[in-house]
Amino acid sequence: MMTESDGLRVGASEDTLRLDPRSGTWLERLVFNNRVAILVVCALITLGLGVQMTRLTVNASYERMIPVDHPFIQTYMDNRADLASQGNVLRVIVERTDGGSILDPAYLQTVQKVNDAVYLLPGVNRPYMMSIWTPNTRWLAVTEEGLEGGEVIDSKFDGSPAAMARLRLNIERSGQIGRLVATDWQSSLILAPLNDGAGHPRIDYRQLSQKLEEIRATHSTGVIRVRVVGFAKIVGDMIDGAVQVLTFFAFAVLISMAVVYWYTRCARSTVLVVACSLAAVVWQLGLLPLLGLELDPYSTLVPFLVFAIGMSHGSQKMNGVMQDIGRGADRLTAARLTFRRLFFAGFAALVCDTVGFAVLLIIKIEVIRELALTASLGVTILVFTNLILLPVLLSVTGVSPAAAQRSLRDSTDAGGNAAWRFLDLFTRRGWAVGALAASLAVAGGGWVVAKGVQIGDIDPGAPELRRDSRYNLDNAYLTARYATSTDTLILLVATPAEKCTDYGVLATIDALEWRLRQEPGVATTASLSSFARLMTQLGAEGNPKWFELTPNQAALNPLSGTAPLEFVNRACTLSQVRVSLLDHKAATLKRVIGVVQGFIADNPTPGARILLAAGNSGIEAATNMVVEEASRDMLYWVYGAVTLLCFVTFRSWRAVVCAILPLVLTSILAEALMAELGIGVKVATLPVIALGVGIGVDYALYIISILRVHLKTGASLSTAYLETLRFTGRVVLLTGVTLAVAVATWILSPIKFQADMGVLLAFCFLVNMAGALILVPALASVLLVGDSHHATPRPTPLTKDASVPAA
Amino acid sequence: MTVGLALSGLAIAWTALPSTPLAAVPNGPATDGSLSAPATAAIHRVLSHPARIPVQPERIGMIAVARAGKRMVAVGLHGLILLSDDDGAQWRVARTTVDVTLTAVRFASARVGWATGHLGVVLHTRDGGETWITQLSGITANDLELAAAKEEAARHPGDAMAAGWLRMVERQRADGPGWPFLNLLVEDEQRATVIGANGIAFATQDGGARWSSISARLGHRQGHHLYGIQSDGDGALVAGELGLLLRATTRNGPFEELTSPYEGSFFGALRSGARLVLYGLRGRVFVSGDGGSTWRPIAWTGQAAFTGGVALPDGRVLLADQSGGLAVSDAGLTKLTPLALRLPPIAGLDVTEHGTVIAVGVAGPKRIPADVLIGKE
Repeated sequence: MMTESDGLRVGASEDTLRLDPRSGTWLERLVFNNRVAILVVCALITLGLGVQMTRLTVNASYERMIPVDHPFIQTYMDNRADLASQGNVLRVIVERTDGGSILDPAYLQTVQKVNDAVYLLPGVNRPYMMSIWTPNTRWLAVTEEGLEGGEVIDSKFDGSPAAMARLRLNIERSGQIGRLVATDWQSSLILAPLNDGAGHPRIDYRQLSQKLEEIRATHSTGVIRVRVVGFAKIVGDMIDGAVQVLTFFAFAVLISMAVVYWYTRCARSTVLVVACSLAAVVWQLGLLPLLGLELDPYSTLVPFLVFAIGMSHGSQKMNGVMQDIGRGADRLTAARLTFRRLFFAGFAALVCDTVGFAVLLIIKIEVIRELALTASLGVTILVFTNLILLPVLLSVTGVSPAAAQRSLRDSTDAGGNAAWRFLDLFTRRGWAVGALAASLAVAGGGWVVAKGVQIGDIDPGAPELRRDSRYNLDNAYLTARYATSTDTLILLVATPAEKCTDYGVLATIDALEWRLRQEPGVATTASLSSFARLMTQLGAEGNPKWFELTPNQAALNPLSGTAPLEFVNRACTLSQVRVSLLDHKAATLKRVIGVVQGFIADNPTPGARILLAAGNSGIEAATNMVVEEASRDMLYWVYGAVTLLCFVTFRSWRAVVCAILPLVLTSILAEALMAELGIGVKVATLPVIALGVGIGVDYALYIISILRVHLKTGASLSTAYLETLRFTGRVVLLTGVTLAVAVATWILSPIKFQADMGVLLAFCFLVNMAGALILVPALASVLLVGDSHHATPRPTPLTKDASVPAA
Repeated sequence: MTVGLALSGLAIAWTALPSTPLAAVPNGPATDGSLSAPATAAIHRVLSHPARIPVQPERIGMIAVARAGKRMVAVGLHGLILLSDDDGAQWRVARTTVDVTLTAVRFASARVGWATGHLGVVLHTRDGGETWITQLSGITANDLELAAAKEEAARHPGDAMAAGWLRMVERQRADGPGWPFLNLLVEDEQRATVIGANGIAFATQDGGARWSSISARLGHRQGHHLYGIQSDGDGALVAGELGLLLRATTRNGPFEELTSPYEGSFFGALRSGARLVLYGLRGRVFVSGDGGSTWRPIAWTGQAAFTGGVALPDGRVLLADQSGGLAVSDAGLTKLTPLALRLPPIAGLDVTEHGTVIAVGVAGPKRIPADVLIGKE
């Protein structure tokens, strides 16, 4: 690496003000001797991919968010046809907000209108739709003559007080209180199963969500409130959120631009850096449709990251060019010298970033892999746009002379910056030991707090969305006023054809349900077996003494034809045990799954297999397992990879320790922050851990590279560090701030996990930056001072040296 | 319009009903009614192994409760038997032998008692309910019933009734022990009678060492579940499905069918002093002062079936319905008054030594203090 003083000599020496075009590496000659070609090619690529970018679609897919290789998910996928009828259900609640009863003509008319509107929605499985207005909602009664029944609202209904009294009675004996009618009689709901999956056209969730919003807007009046709950609405809201977040991109650009301009005071180069970083984003987004990829709520993070990383590396280049021009070099010479000095440093840093992303590929969850893929792609693109195109552009435009002088003044003004002198204190033994001791204490405290970090989602409702989002408020209303749990674990019981009702199988299910109902966290269970109990009781005029699973095979057999499809398929090969849970905390899921697995091991039933798992809780449990395992593996991999890269760069374990320890501190503190903020380790936050380390090592790479060069010239640590700070300190600050700002805009996202990612990444970037500026010199004072004589100082000839820094 | 009984509360309480409609396919797969090997294994399991003891036993569904001296004993789902020695405040789990729904419990003394259950189960205790043994199960009961039916058919050749009964018993035995005992009468530590589904009844004279079928004494009432039994002098009264009402006037004499005041099902029978009370479907209640010969109805507007009842120490009668409503009579048994108190659906009642009523049902045992038992007007 050429030192800042080397650069100064270059600038000061008259005979090197113009470089020989044949000097430099082959890469440098290729780039700078074909500048027009490079500009034209880049412009064409940008234009072409810009056109492609318009084809980019934003979507969300449930399947991409789950670990499809996990046995639970495989079971779920294998049996999807039998599970489809119940999983994807939309609930539209029509609520009276004035405290009045639903037994009111005006209210009932509104429900009828909403019912008709929902009926017309695309994707609704109309024969299975239910509300108090649909003819399949019936009441049932035991009389002396046997069972009697009828429609809850029949053709004779005329809205008269007598008809209302009859409606009340019909609802009471329909068994629908808590299902279609709220327990407080102030709302009722329309239940609309959706035709999703094989054999049905794909549902456009965004469009469906918009149509639901139209229904909500049309029918919500003074005393009526419409609420919508269901997977389709979650997906719709997530897609809307992802689109909304893309608009934050403009903020991120503006803020980063302001920060860079504040730093350079040169509009020309600021615009160039932003333009090149944006070009990288255009390339990256343009490539997605070509690769057949969509943007989803997870990968919308990538453009922000690519832009921010581009800004920080671009700023490095601009900083170099500015200082060289300030020293009197012409723009082409300055650009070439900067390219020589910094291309490989930047390249190494981008390789580290890529490794950080690529490690995510080991996680078998599609959204994370796509995130890894698109982010690696974006960072690779940055090599072209910000390490090659930007210096070429700067060699054409140059920088404003005033700004160049200012940058030189700043970098030579030895005592001018109080902050640098403060940071320099950490090169002294006492301060260094103090800082290290304090870090150790903080790390220890963080470690204790971090033990509280949970796997998976913790908040009730739809964890994808914010707790106070309209969806989660609607969901909370549903769970409070209706007997409906939104956390369901489904166990599948597979039997040979027509054996689902075998008493032996049902008795096993009965025992499993009994076991599960004893488990804390289980609200209730339902199955073909408990349905059999209920039917036995109803068959005996409702006498509670008959609530038993009786071993009467002839009476059990017809159940496969009469039981609801959510309990058994018509082939009588697969029945479901539906376990309603009180929450979806990872500990609850893990314990309940453990109970089921223990039961399966202890109760082998010939002719039946109990399979895990489906239902949102089953899928979540599988995801948690994959995430928990991956969170450990990923740390080994990312730290292993970064350590290796650092070692290749520094060839000194002491330097590696200097670079890695601050990252470890950040990782611990980030986990402590997660525990403190109640953010779980999940699909969304897992990548952050890898990204934090991968991107975080950049600072240390830059600082330690330059620091060691100075140390090799024999300078004291204090002098070497001050020099390092003057040359690169501001850029490190700039990098940290632009990265943090770009991702911090995510905190405003309506999607909870995006906000979580934003908080954590911003935290990681800032703490990494502080760690690099404070702990690197402190560690260096302990480790590196003795290290300098191990490395052989060598002369640094001008023309050959440019490739030194990182690789 | 026929007004029926509301099933909603009951259905929700015992298990969560599905939210999708019942499918339209009328028939299940056409397999025969014989039991598979796993089914037979499961029957042996539930008849010989108690269920895992629940974490919160006091919240498990209970079907019946009875007093054993100072102790209250409740029986319910999965063979669970609960004991309380503090007037029903706290409950603990007794040692039992089976994993079937228990339907009734009665004690002859503070120590000796019986409980009935599904799969033809009769349990017996000699230590106030602490430990129980199985005296009869559906497997042996089937054999005993078959032997008795054959004997009866042989004794009365050409009797269509006896022949029909024998065919029913053979068919039932082939289907397995899938029928319950539903109630019992305990006269003393030696003598008890258990009644069950489809007209089947057994009795013991020797503390349960030997149980024998008395279905013939009841007149082979196939097609009728027997729900209620009360002693009346030396005789007994049995009430059941579809208004069935039988009376025996002597200890071992035959039961004769009485003229029933109701064509619907009786779910239970009570005795308060010299008066007999029947209760059942759709909130119907009848009183007899002459040992069952004549009955008068007690007016009541409720529609839910009365599933539990008890005679209070002062002679009034407390009835509980399947929606959790309670009604108390006056001392003359002329009218019923609803209580302000509502509980989860109730299946059984009894009174502690201190006059507290214990109501058991879907949500386990609940205490009803004596001062609550004043009807609202």
